Amino acid sequence: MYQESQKRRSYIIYILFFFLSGSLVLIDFFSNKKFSDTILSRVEFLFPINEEAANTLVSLDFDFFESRSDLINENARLKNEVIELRKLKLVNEELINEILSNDELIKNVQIEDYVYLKSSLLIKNTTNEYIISGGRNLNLNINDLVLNEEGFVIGYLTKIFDDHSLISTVLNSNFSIPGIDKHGNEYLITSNNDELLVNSILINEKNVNVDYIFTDIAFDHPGKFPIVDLSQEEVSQLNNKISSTVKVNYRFSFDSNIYIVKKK
Amino acid sequence: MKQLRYLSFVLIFISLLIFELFIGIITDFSEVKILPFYILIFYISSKYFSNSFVIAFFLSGIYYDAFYTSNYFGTTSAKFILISILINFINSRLRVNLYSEFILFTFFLALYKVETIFTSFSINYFSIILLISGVNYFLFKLINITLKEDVFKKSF
Repeated sequence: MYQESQKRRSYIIYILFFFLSGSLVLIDFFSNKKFSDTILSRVEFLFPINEEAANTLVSLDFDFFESRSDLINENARLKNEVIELRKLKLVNEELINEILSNDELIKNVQIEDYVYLKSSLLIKNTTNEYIISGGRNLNLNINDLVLNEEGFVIGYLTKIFDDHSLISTVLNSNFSIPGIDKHGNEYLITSNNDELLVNSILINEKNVNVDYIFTDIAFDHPGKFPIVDLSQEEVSQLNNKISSTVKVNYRFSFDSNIYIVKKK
Repeated sequence: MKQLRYLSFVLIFISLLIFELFIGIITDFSEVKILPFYILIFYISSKYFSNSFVIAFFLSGIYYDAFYTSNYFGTTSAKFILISILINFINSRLRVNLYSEFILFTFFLALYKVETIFTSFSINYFSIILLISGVNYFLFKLINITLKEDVFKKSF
């Protein structure tokens, strides 16, 4: 009997908290997310990944050998040097990889007038959205473009935090970006997780020889960056509409080099 | 003391949630996902349902919405709390055996992954849910057996 009433009380408390959550949703909905943004701008320290803190921990020098014999000191010093050399080797490898990926990027994008901020993947949430490093600390804004190593647009920023950001990528079904081809035809590119669906929204010249579709300043993008390459894909023209479907081959991983484009 | 206990629950829940996200990115190549936080919800709701966990569910949901999603604030909290109540309510009214528990586990796993089901709805995805459910249910049973209070008594 006591257990039953205890359980009922628990249900009531859970239901109250459910309504509390519901009211938070409603407040956030009617304030157009201003409520959550205000709270977030004040409590950013709760996010667990902080590169500066991690580096500080790594660089902490615990001098435990002060009172030991010279031999132990020497051993420790040599050990530290080996560790330093290993770190340098890793840094060297990272730099070589970065140079290679930057070379790839240079091939496809304009370098002048733009800043390419290197970022990396941190986490994927349960709704298949990715969180990348860099946020308000790098002066990033919502809808900033995210490029891969080859300079293709793979997403755009949807939410900015202090030192990380949420992106909508070509692998998300809510991905949608306008683009333009070399003939001046305008397209809307959307995703269904596996494929990019390319559909024209404004046709200037009926020509299915599209090749690349680019971003454009007309759509508030910083400049021309390739979104999709249709040169090897089947492009159809039906009912005054150009359309195509492209399989998404891009996959994110921890070592993916991604770049956020900012105008200088 | 009570506050300290609640705080420790909150920290454990949030740590497990972050752990689940990290596992998610490591196993990104595979369709099978390991969901420790869902296992925790199911375990607590079916075995140790009480008031003491409601704040942990609420705050971990808020934390998740705040730092990892573009959801409206409180959406995930509402989801966690709803799943927890329903699991306990149905579980206490069912004659629990392996099959019914597995069906319950799968049904609420689908509810747990409801956003993904909506965004990438396909029949194929339901088979993936079944697969994920199988793997996670196995882990749930494993944890269940390990954490049984009389596990030592039985071994003697």
